Amino acid sequence: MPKIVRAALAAALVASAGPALAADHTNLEEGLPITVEDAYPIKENGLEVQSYFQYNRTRNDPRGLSSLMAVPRVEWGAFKNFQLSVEAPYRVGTASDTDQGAFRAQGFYNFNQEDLVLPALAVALGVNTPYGRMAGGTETELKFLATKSIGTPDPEGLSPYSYVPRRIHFNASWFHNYDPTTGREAERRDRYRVGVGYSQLVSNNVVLVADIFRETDRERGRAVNLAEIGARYIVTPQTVLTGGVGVGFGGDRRQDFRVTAGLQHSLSFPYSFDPPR
Amino acid sequence: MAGMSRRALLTGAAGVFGAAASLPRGVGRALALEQRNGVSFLKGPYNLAFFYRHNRAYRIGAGMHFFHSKQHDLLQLTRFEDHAAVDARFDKEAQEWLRDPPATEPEMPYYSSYVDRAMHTLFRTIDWTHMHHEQTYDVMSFREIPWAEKKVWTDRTVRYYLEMQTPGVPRSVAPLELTMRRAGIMMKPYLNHFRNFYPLDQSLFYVAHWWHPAVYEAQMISGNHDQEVAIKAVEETMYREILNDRPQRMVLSREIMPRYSRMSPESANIFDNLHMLHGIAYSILAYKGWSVEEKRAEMYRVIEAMGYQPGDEVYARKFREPHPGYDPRTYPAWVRSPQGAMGMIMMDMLMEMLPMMYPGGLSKDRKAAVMRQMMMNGRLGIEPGEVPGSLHDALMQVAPGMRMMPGSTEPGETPAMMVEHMVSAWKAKAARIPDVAPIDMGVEPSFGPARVAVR
Repeated sequence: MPKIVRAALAAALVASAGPALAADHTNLEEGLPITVEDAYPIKENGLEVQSYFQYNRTRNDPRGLSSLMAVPRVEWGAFKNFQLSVEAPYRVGTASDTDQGAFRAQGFYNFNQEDLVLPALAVALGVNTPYGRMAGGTETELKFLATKSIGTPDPEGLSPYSYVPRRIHFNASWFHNYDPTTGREAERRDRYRVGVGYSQLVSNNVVLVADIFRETDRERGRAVNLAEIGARYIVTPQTVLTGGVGVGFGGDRRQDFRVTAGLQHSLSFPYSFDPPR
Repeated sequence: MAGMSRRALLTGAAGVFGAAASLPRGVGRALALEQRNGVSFLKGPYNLAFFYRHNRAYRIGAGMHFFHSKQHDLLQLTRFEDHAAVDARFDKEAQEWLRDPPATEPEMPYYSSYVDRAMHTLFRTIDWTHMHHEQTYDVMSFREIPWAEKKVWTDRTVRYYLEMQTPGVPRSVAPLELTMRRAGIMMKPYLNHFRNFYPLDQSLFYVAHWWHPAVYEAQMISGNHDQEVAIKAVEETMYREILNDRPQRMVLSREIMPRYSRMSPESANIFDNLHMLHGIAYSILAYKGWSVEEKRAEMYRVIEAMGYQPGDEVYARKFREPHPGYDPRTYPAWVRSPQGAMGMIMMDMLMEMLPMMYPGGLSKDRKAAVMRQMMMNGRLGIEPGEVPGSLHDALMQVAPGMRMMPGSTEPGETPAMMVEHMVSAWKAKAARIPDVAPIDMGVEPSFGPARVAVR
């Protein structure tokens, strides 16, 4: 079956799985600015444009060491507790994975609001079809997400004045490549990403975020091992700016460091200009 | 090295998350198990008009929502014995936020994560109604919506508000006279706890209850063109007079925004029903006699009872306006007074209940004592001669022998017989109340010469 047909089928599967007030700085999004996200989708009927630029300094790459990725994304709260997103990242630079991009579609469903015991739990299913120079095979991603508040520094509530909402997030993804490339730069058929994130308000308008994760690379023998830290700043009720940095760790790491800057904006349209009758 | 880092990361991730997900210390709690069910705002050309055009007023509202949010966890997590200190300390902090308000509005979970996790539907209800507040402010602030079309755009936001969330979450479009009777809280042990034991914080919310309708009314008297002047005057009145000498009761939309209430009685009633829910929620949280599960059961019962029910529209205009010409830039004595429309509603309800609670009747002295306790219980703080606690406690003391209705004091239970009696009594009265008259939006108000509003 041609790759494009498989990708379309996978996307249709995601879409058939079913359908956030304004842009919300506490509702984490992948890449804005860290990789680990929370277990909550945007709100029903919400429509957001998101975009980020990510510079990666790679290592042990014979072709080159730098890569700049631009990611445009549209996210839609298709129905309660479910969002659909599409994005089309593209990388330029000197590293070996540049001059290529991907089309990615994802459905994300949240099962429950976190309560006093149970974390918020969600799953996401996505399809990722690369294109461009030396593009690899189409992958699907099955992702499990959880978010748990860790409450105040004083859980008995004796000092709730110093109350700071803090949450941790857990993400685990399984990627399956339906058509891995072979040869000198052979791709993995299956790989994973697992990570833990942390977020807390530092002021009314700023959320501090941090994560640590490991993602095995498409290319065999390499991985992305990163610790990231950043902030999400709500500028207007519908706009969030994000920025973060990450450093690589581990002997098989692909990156030495990463810098990410992005924007998230809730759209006020489409709407009717005519007065309602 | 690579293998070691991989193992360490996987083990660390599982360990950190597992530890945090374990049961909180010393607390045995049932699972709430509900979905988040968030719904976004209604899209329109007017979105953010209030934020951009009246940013100072927007920020003042955001500051109010800070202390509105944080009050929930404070009441739930602090010891009742410390109520006076908590009241004083938080009043100080809240005033600081009001004088230097934040740039954007926090949603309720921002500063009350515990209550959000314990009873999320409460915050969903509040934030959903705040979304409606924002929409209606935006419609009024957006110059490109002609004055004559403000109502149809407002009605569009009301429809969205009522239809998009799950049933029970939108507040009713019927006046408090009906929804308070449906709630049946008069004999609940938490009644007016917040008002009685946290009078400073409560009075700050009375300021907020004045502020929100005062801003609408400022827009109603200034039209599309002169809002800046009118809203600035409201801001000055708030800082100069109202914050320092606060209203002594929850003022209602019909009192502070009589013109807006005539334009959109549905929206006005939604706001009153939300403001009343705030007070009830705080009293439930402040009450220490129930577990968090019992509080959730009672909270959800009240939310449901005061929520929109099909047919509520029929009663949307069934209220009287005691001060139809109120200028929101002023602070007359009647606004500050502890006596007002809300007190009348409570008194009417008690009068309907008394014959059922005392089938044998009450002596003149005992009835007078009951009324005195009712008045004192409804005012801020604890007064000399007032029986501290709920109205139920007070009545048991000054007029023993009360016949208790099933469900009248238990968490999550409705005193069905009493509610049915009061609702049917009010509906009979409502049939005799003329609808409050619609307002003519054909003439646009302004501080200059009057204009004919054109479409």
